[in-house]
Amino acid sequence: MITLTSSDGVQFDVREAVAKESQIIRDMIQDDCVITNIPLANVNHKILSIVLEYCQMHVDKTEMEVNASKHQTTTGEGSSSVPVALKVSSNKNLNDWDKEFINVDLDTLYDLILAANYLNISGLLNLTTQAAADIIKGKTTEEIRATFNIKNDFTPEEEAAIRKENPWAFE
Amino acid sequence: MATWNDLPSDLLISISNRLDILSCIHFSAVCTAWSSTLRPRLPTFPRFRHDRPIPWILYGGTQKYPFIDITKFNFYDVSKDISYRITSPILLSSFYNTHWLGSNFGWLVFMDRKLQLHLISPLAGAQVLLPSIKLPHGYQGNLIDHWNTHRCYKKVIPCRVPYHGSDSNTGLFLLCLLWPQGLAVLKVGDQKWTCLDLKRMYTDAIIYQGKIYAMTTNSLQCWELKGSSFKVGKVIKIKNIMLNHLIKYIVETSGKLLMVCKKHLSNSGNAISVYEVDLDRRGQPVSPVKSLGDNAVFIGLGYSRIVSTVGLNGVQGDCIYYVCNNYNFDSGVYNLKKGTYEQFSFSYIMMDSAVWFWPCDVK
Repeated sequence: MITLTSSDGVQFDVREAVAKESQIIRDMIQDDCVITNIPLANVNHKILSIVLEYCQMHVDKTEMEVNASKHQTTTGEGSSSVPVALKVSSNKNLNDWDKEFINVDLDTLYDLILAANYLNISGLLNLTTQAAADIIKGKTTEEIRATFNIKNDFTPEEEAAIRKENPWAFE
Repeated sequence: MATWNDLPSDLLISISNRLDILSCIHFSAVCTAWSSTLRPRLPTFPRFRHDRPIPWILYGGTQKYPFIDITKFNFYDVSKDISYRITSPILLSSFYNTHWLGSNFGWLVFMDRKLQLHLISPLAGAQVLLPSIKLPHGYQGNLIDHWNTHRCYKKVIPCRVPYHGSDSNTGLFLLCLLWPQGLAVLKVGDQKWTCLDLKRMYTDAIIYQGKIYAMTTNSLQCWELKGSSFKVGKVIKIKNIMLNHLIKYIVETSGKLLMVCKKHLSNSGNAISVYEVDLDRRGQPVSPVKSLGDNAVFIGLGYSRIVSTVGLNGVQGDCIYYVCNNYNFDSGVYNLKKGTYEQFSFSYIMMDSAVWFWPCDVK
């Protein structure tokens, strides 16, 4: 077990495999195998608990697949099509789970993107940036500003110049 | 409280990489922070002015020639003689051996290898699977043409019917010229096409003042849009038999229709002639037009359109710009007054599949 400490001092005890979903933690553990307590200065406990839920789920699913294929091999019934079918269905379930998991408010999504980037969890980074892209897709500039609560800080001249670059996109 | 405009630039870029081009342009114009990161990464497009729109040529996209990168759309700017390559959000490899059929308002219609019709927006990344055209049992149309490819569609023309008061017949319509003869219409969103005619051979069509006008070898056929049905309207007969063998296009300009007649190959004398069509006149409804003034006509696959060239460099008035269709590789500019023609400078091979592309709604 490894203890991860959030920026606001909350400790999470997790299995090594779960913590190792993060590339940065994986590197730390490899460098020094006696490490047991890792402070994470940039992630608060609320976000860390969500991140760990993601890691836990993905580790569990992977282990389930490995066990299932081992089982097939040892019982000798391992015609290769069975584990493949199992894998496909479990991937589908995991994708559904991811979709449900990432259905969060924009503040949380923002923090998750930063946390996934800081901890270097590539699956979570893909998932969160794709979720942000899906929100932006098909929206006008004004709609994106309203959605993310961003102030238009261009001068009218600057904004006109930007629109002039690709006028067909701003009709 | 999250402040999205503080998002580090590498994360901003990774989000923008997941967007279609149109959304990406909108995304890059939100605030100064995002703009400074994203704008330098945007692809360059041919210029396009709303008040003086000149279409781009969209070409390539078939995989016939291995040196054409099919992950990209190629746009050619006729005024500057420059090509632009733009990565499409749509997986172009699924277009292998497809036939492009027409374009307008940023949309492109093509047919895939299974004869399935698709409506896509290369810039906004939208994709619509269109219903198949069900031809009546016993239809004698020849589905195998001289290219020895299965093809039953000649050209598809996207047209917009603007909203007028209580009129329910608004929206995007597709007019499909069937191979070798026939005409079908679909209101995008509807489940099935309506076959208007299967007997005549059509070369172009347009929706003008709420009516469909379609060119045959010697007449202009007409249908009125009435609710969900189409009522046959007045037929204009073109009695000048000298025009019968020419490919005819129909163009709308400020309250009248022009008929543009083109010989199959432009390098023969008087390759293109223009006529005004008087819808109300009996006897001789078409009269020759000597000059287009400062206007230029764009004909080829898709919607035929006339635009003003006043104040534009690199585009000539009184000219007809044409791109090849699926039947010949003839692409260039014809000067109506001088009777001269000039081919576009870039390789005809790239023009194997090319359409006039209007990146957005015009007018």
